[in-house]
Amino acid sequence: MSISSPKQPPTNSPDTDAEVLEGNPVDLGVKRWRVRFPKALRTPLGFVGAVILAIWLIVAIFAPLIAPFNPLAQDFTRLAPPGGENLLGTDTLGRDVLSRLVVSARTTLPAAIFVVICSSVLGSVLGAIAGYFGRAVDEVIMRIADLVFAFPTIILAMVIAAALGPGLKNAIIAILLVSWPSYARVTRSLVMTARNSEYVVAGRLLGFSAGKSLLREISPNVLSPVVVLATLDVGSAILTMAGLSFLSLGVVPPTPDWGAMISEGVSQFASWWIAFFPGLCILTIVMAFNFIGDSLRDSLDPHTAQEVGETTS
Amino acid sequence: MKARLPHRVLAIGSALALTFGLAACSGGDKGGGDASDTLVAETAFNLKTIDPHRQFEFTGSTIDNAIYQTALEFKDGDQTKPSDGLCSFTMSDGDKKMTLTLKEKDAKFSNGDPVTVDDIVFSFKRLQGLKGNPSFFLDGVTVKKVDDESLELISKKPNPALPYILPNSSIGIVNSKVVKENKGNTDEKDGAEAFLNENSQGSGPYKVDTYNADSQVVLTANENYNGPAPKYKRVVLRNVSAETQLTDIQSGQAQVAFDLNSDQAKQIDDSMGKISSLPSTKSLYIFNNTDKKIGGPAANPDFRKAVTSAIDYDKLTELAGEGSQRMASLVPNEFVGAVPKDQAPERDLEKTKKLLKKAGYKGEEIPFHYSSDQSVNGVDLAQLAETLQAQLKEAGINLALKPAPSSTQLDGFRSAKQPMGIGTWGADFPDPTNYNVFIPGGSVAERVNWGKDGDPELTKLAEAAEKTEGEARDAAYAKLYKATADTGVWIPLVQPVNTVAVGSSITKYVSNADVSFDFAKAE
Repeated sequence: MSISSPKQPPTNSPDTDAEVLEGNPVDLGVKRWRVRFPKALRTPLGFVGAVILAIWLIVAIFAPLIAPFNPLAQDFTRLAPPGGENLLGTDTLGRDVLSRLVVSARTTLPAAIFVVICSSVLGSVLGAIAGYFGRAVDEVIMRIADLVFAFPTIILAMVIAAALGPGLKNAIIAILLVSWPSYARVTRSLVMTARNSEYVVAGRLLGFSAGKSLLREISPNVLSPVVVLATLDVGSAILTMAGLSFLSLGVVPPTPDWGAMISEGVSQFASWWIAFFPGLCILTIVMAFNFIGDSLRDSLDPHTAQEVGETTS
Repeated sequence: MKARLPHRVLAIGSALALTFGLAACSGGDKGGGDASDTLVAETAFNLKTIDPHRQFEFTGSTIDNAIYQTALEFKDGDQTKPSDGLCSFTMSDGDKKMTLTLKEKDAKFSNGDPVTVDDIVFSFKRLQGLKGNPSFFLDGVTVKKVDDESLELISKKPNPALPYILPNSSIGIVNSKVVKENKGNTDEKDGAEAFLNENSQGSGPYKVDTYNADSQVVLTANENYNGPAPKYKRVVLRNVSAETQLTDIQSGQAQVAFDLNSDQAKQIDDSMGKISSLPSTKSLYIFNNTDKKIGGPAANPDFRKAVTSAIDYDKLTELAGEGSQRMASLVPNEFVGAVPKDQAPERDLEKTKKLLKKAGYKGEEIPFHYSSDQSVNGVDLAQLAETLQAQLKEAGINLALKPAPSSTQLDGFRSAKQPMGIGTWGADFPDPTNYNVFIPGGSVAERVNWGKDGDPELTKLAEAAEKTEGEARDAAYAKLYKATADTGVWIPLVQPVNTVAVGSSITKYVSNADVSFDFAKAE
């Protein structure tokens, strides 16, 4: 895999536009990805984030093999402190905390990634439509987005989850409904800028349809910020899901879930391990996504890309 | 990038330092607070009003117990024997007539006015007329003043429960003259609630000083109280969560905590205070819908019996904490009409297997409803549901947990559309007639579609129990509720324990099943 020169021109440089005008914008986007993604992870924080995330992915995939006990079995002494048979102690019902933590990763991680993918796709499509077509379409979509923005995310998610009833599926729907507007807003502003660019205008003059123009010419140039936003958003999604579970609006018991475990631990200050370890899990995974997102942003942002290159070269 | 790293590291380091710093600060100082005239008590408020004839919540009741005297009371917390309060009493005419005679003639309200029969009659009539939550206590009762010494309560039907009802703090005696002057009335036009919240009109050991339903209520001693003057002249009742109550008791910032669960109570050692474990008046049970279309397998009596014998009751009492008890019926063990707890069912998985086979149960999932945000005397219903699910799964019974916030859950239960779930019942008064609602045709029985004709045998037993008087009532009601439990429509789980933590600065106090903590008798 080749590594680009740190002096590579930023996205909207005249060189880039020139290449696009030559009729190969998709290839350009692919090339940028191949070159910059690995470099982003070579920053110290990006590397730490990638390692932590990799560990968590391994834990999630091999959870049944890693968990020492059945996470639902109430076989042990209640509230046993960490050590001995139960490495991280037991909870109020005598279940092994470590096993529950490990198995919980299988629910939390895929659900958070899934919800972010869905909301980024939905938000980006709506934002692109609003930005490209403008006028009434823009007004309708963005006013709906404003409506969602008017409420604090967690409150709105709580209301939706409470209305739909507890459960993982409903929690995902709730988070999806509250998180798409940020993607719509970002995409809309980028599309509005790009739609008047010379290469887009040229494409239009060549007879490209709106869909083709959006897909082939504009989307490669708006993808990077959306990807950065999505990466950073996984952490928020995990936090929101944990918040819903904390309030008994997320994963239905007895399925293990970090948020629900913290909720249980709140009334057991002396048995600190019940809340502390799931809190630590959330902290590490959210940090990992934030580190990766930060590094990606630094790498993909034309203004900081050079700095990243200098740091990693 | 090189410049940013230290900032981030610093930020994370600071956050961790702050967290550990705060954690370190939260430990610390043990022991009781200074002896003074002020007693600080803490509870998680469930307070809407302290107007005695409107309040029907724990916090309001705790406060009104200290402010208002009642016509009768339970001496030393013995809820099986009502005794004289402001009045003495006699029952006659087949338990249809109760005569109350003013006994405490030196009793005075906080403004110095003497307590009269007129005040008692007004208080009873106001309770009835407000049509509030506690008004049902005197449903079907006619209140009549006989003379300046006595009054009569006449019921349409035999009402042997009346002496057990009158000690309730919702039937506190108020100063009729002052209440009337402040928009008080004996019908729904009454407008004295706000006045009574700020200016209590009772004859008990305390009167209200300041009232804030969200944060705290302060009581000061009633100088005109006819009993021994309380040692603590001022009582501050604060709205605090159970977790904070624990730390406040440990650090001596509070002397009384009402809401600790058994695990939290274990963290109070002798240097910090004492734990008073009182039998709760609440019952936890499983309900099974008797309608086949809704209940599915739960409507089958054999299946219900299988569930009854699949539960590990000892583990449930362990979960509910030290002092909690097994139950053989829904009636708490200390009440008249309770079934002796040695008759409570035991776990027998072999029996369960046979019964499940007989019921034709093939492992289908049954929705199991409960309030996910409710805790009864420290027993978290979510944890209870998870425990039951695990125990029944061992026996081959599959429950699909359906948690919901209390209000949503209660709506669902009331609509009689839930097949199975966890129910709770707190006694309004310590008499078996308070559990008639669980007999076919009763208001709670209707929630599991158990109508009047649901079980003719039980109906007969209920009619027989209603006709009994005196000491025979105990056996008659015990027979009725044992038969009710045997149907498996209601499966009694556990009688929790009411835990009151008392700080080490208090050396003498009274805490019993009737009054969790008597502020006036604390020293």
